[in-house]
Order: sequence, then structure tokens, then C-alpha cells
Amino acid sequence: MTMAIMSAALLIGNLKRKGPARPSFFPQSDSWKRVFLTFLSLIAYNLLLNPLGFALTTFLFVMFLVRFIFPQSWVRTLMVAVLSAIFARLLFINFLETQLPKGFLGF
Amino acid sequence: MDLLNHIALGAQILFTPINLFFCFIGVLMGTLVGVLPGLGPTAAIALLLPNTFHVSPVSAIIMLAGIYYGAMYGGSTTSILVNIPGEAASVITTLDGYQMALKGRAGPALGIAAFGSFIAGTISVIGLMLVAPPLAKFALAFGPPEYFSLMLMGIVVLIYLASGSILKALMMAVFGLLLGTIGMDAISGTQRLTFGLLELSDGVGLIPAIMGLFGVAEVIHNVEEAIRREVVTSKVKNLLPNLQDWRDSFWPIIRGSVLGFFIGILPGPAPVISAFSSYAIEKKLSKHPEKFGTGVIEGVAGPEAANNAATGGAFIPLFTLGIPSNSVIAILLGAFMIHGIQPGPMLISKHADLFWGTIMSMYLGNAMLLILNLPLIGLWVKVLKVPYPILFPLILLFCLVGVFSLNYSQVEVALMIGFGVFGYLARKFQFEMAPLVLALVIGPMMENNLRLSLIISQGSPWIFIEHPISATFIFISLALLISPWIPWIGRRRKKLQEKVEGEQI
Repeated sequence: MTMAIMSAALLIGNLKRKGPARPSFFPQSDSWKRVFLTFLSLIAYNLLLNPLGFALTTFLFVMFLVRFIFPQSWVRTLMVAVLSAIFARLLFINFLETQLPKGFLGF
Repeated sequence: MDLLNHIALGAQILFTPINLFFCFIGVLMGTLVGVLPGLGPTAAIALLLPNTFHVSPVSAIIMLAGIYYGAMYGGSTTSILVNIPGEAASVITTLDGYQMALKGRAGPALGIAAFGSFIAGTISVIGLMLVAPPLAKFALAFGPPEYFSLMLMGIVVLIYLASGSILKALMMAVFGLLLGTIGMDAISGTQRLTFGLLELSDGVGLIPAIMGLFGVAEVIHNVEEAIRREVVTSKVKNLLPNLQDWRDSFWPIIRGSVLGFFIGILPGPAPVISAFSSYAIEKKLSKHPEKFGTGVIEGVAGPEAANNAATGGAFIPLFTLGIPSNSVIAILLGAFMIHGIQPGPMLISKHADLFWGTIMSMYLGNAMLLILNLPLIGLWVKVLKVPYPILFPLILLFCLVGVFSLNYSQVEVALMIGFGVFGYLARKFQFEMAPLVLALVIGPMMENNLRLSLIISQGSPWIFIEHPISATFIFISLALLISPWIPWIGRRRKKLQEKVEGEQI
């Protein structure tokens, strides 16, 4: 409790002091979009993992990120997404024997 | 003779197919994450930790240690060829290494970095082997008050060495301690700050926190803008440095090794600091300091040796006291606990196989790295050419799966994402992560020792001053906290800060 108060006090003290000029918050005007979408996709992955199963969620996740964050061609996107889903599936489930949800499709 | 027996024991443990395999995987992964900018050894060890649950503790520690020192080798490759540090400890290598590459001397630069790392790695392992056992015997005299004061000092030193504002580092440390109090009270068993979540009763998991702070936050930071990388592709040849190069870099390597080893023992991001100090020393001692920054080989050899030696030194507090000195070692400590090994001064005698096996693996691992990094350099250059837009989803995927597979808990994944957001924002405002992680790890240990001490002394806080060893630690911490207000020390610290400017841990 004292710690919480102390850090709050430090925060206020620090806010009052004027620091040196910082570079603008985002280096590029569309940065916030990419940052926001990436966080969103992480949350989506967490939510979809159980209902959809590991392989399918991974495929969607990689596809979304490759296609929309730094847009790549569809061919490349699909190739990367399919390959990573298959490899991740082999690596984690078959090789490392991690118990990941299989979802309604059963793979 | 005792030493020889122990070495034999270590070799016996190491030279089994399974341990050799894990040692190899460790150094391979280490080089890989070292080469890749934006994924450091901290995140990599956190990633692989959950996957070591079903192997023996020795194999697990051998592999995780391999990642740590392997990353120091890999980092130099990126620094020299791309002018982007593969990980924080190689920042300084970009100064002269990249210039050498531009002059067409990428080969000798890479070569001396690998040889220097090898020599330094070996020296620091020998140091570790000689220093750790006596120190552990000394530490047997420590009781709860000494431990508490020592940990307090560890945190204070880390705060003091923070590259940015001390106040900000202090805030991060206090926040870490606060997070460390979440979960079940170890002495009375009450639930604290868990908000009814079962997952939080064990405390905030270290792995989700680290993956969020280092893995996710780092990736998000890189996603902001498209990084263009220009790999120096003019053929990398003549990896072997010539006689003149050796003459120029022999002493820097030796000095860097010794310096790195001792800085490694201190808490803090030792590889980074030691690389910077080695560069500064070489520049001062050099006959031609004006040439530094234009591609002199000493500027590559010294720091590369120092950052490798520091990894060896950093293991000392872990093996002798069970106290982590930086975030990588903190995860290793977590690994010990997961595998049911109680870290502390008894570790070396109780788990002799673990200690000596790991030491021997570090000798062999350094040799493996030399082979991995010199003849196979072309392979790593290829890895560097994997475009980031394809790489980063895979890094995120590893973070997600790694955390999920710990306890199959979505709460922990959510926690990781939360830490990712926090880490991203904190980085924006130039807060450092290292004090937070260290405080999170040793917070509960500190609390236990504090309460045990107070039980021993029946509530009197003077116990920390009455015990001489403990009093010394407290005094040093106080002196460090006060010293920035003393003008000339404050000014010197400022200077040090300016040198480390732009450093991200």
C-alpha cells in the first residue's frame, strides 16, 4: 500500500517536471493502426484458440498479420500462413507434445 | 585434486548424447536470436522454458545457458553486417564493426568477434569455476537479514546503473515489488490482490510478464515503422584475422574478458555495460584514439570479448546465492524452481552434477559456437534476409503458444498481452524493464526474508544494522541512493549516461 502511494507520488512529481522534448509518439502517421491491429489480433488469438483449435487459429492469425500489417501479396501470405500452421502444429503437438486445443475440426 | 574430480564429474554428465544435443540446440537457438534483431536472449529463454518441463533439470539448464552466451556471438554478426545490433550488448560493435564491413573487412571483423568471444567465454568459465565454490561457502553464513539486505542492494545497484532517470528506474522497481506481492501470502496464507482469480493465487507468472515485456512489446515497437535493412553482401571472406589484427586485438580481448567477468558479477544488464566500458577503456589506452569509429579492430575485439565474459560472471550470483543479477538469469532462476531445485549457497554441493555439468557445457558450448559462427556464417546472413513482415507474426505466435502451454490458461495469455501493452507504453516514455523484472522475481524472496528476519528479532528492524554483513549491504545501498545528489559523482554518472544514450535493454 505504501508502495502504491509512493509510486503515485513519484509519478506526479515526475509529470510536473518538464523533460527534454521527446520525438512524437508515433514515428509514422499510420503507425497507430499497425500497433492497434497487432494488439487486437493477439487478443483475438487468445479468444479463438479454444473454439477454433490450434492449427486453424494459427493460420488465421499469421494470415491476418502478414497481409495487413506490412501488406504482402496474397500468394506469399497464403504460403507463409499455411506453412507456419503446419510447422507449428508438427513442432508443438507432435514433437514437443504440448497439449493444445484441437477445436471442433479435430486438428 | 578436488577440482579435477569435479571436472571429471561434469564431463561425465555432459558427454551423454542427450545433454550434448541440448547443449547444441541451446547455442544454435542462442545464435539465431542473437542474429535476429528484435528478439533477445531474454525472450528466447522464456519461450523455450515451458518446453523443458519434460527433460531433466541438467539438460534444461545446459540448454538455457547456451542460449544466453550463444546470443552474444550471434549479436555481433548483425551488428557488423547490418549496422543494427542483434541484441543490446552488441550496440557498441556497430561503431567499428560496420565500418570495417564497409571497408571490405567484414571477414576479419566477424572472425575476431568470434575468436574474442571464444577466448573471453573460456576465461570467464574458468573464473566462474574458481570463484563460485568458495563464495558459496562464504554465503552459507548468510541468514535472512543478510539475504534481505543483499537483495535490497542488488535492486539499488540496478536502479543506480539505469541508463535513464534514476527516479523512473526506482518507480519500475517499486512497481515490480508491488506486482510481486500479488498472490498467496507465504507466511499467513491470505490471498492478496488476486481479485478472486484462481490463476493469480500463485502470483503474477514470471513467464507471461517477461514474454509480454520483452517479446510482445519489442515486436509491437518494431511494427510501428517498416525497418529497412541493408545487409553488407559483398562477399564475406578471409574470416581468419591476420597476424597484425591479432597483435592489435590480443590485449583488448584479455582486458575485455577480465573487465566483463567482474562487471558480470554485479547486478544489471552486465553484457551491455561491460561492452561499453571495454570500448571506452580501449579508446583511452589506444595510441590512436581518433581512429575509433572508423573501423579499427580493437573496437570490435574488446567489447565482444567483454560481453561474452560478462555472461560467465553473471552466473556467479545465481549459483552461489540464488539471486539473479539480470533478467536472463532471473528466468534461469525460475527454471531452477520449476525443476524443484532450491537455489542458494547449498546448490553447488547438493546438486554438484548440475553445477559442474553446466560449467563443462559452457566450455564445449563456446567451442561449438566458434564452429557455428565461422564456417557457417553464410547461413546466418541468409537468416538475416528473412523479411520482418514474415518474421514478426511467427515471433508473436511463439510468445502466445509458449505462455499458453505453461498452464493452458487464457488468463495468463491475457496477462502477457497486458504486459505487452504496458511494456510498449513504458518504452515510449523511456522506462526501463530490467528493474521491474528483477523486482518481480526477487520481490517475494525479499519479502519472505524480511518477515523471517523480523520474526527472529521479534519485530525490531534494527536487526539489519546489528548484523555486520547486512549492515554493510544496507550502507552501500544508502550510499548509492544518496550519491547522485553529491555534485561530482552526479556529474560523472551523467557522463556515463550520455555514453549509454539511446540504449534499450
